[in-house]
Amino acid sequence: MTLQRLSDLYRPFRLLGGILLLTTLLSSCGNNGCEETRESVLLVQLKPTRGLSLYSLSAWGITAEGDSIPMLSNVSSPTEAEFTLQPDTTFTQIQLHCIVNDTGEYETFDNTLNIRYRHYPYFLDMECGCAIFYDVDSVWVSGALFQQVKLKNAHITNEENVNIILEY
Amino acid sequence: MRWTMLSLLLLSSLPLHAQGNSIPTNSEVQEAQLANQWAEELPDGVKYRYPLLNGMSVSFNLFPPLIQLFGKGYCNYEGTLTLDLHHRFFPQFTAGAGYCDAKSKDIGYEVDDTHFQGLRYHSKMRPFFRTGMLFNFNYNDIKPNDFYGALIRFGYAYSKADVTNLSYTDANWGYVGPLEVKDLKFHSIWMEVGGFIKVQVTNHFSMGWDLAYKPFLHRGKDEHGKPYFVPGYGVANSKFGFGFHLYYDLNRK
Repeated sequence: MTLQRLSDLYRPFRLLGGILLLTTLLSSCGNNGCEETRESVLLVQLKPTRGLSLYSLSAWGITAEGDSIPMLSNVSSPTEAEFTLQPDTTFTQIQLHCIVNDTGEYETFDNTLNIRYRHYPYFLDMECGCAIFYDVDSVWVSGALFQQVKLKNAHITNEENVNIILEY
Repeated sequence: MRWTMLSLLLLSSLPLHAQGNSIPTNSEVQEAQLANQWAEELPDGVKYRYPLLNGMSVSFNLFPPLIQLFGKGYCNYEGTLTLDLHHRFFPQFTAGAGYCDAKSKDIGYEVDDTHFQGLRYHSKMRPFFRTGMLFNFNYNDIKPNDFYGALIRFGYAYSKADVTNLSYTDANWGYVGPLEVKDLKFHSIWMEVGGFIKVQVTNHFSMGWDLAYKPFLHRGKDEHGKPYFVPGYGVANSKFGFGFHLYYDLNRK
């Protein structure tokens, strides 16, 4: 009887071994490093309203010291553009160099997109660390091409959503 | 005293088996008679072999404190009250507390070229609650002490956390740090579905193991981040949980 009892007791331990093996395998599947994007981008939609077509777009970020940081270079026929904002200040200027096709005639325009915002770190997890999220307070554009700027979504996160619409 | 008697019983019975002795001991005769009695089929209309309130136990999950010894920066301490209804349904109520003080070796803030501060996620000891049911598959078994089955449970925890030594590198604008996120608050609700085994060790003590899949019904989200650790759940990215329980059965004779 006692040996039978010991045998009965031993049986679940074999099951336990299986469970531990399964747990180890499953837990090893769960740790693949950072799987989330950390980058929060300002997604700008470029919308024609006057029969013009945007032939190409180049863009530079302007630092507080006035230096230029290249962001886009001669992107042809763009309908959207993605920019990152300065994560350690509350104001970013982006210079837009546009070549427009106006019924066969090519014209060049230089515009500046100005964004004022609040920023804060957003903790993702131990593998990724944090992203920087932004809440846009105001946005305006200077230059001759873009007639209107609309703020569609003021909350800039690591999920892609159109934030600003530039009409030309 | 009980262990001494158990040892004597073990020692005294082994030679009988070894010699192929056919003379049963008194306890073997009593157990055989009891087994025959219980082996009889249940009368028509009787669904359960065991009464509605068949017992009660308290248990402690020893697995989280055990793995903490291997350097994990978090731990849950929990106690569970379990009722035995017809030896088929085992409603449970668990209360406990968990904390986390985890540091990353890879992600963090570079003080300078030679000094690095690892990301730190710190959550003070916070309570959690869990309730649910175990379902014994062999509830009319004539040997009621060792059994296995399925489980379903629901858990709730409220936690707060501070995250320090963060940094961020933007592809265009460069490196920013150190950053910190203070006073994150999370309400988390999760479900556990899985299986369990329970084995009697001595008259009053049993051991149990369980493995469960744990989807979040509401992980909890703060304006400034997501939880890394949830009291009672563990690391929020893990989808499976394992438990090793020590039971004290209150009403065994």
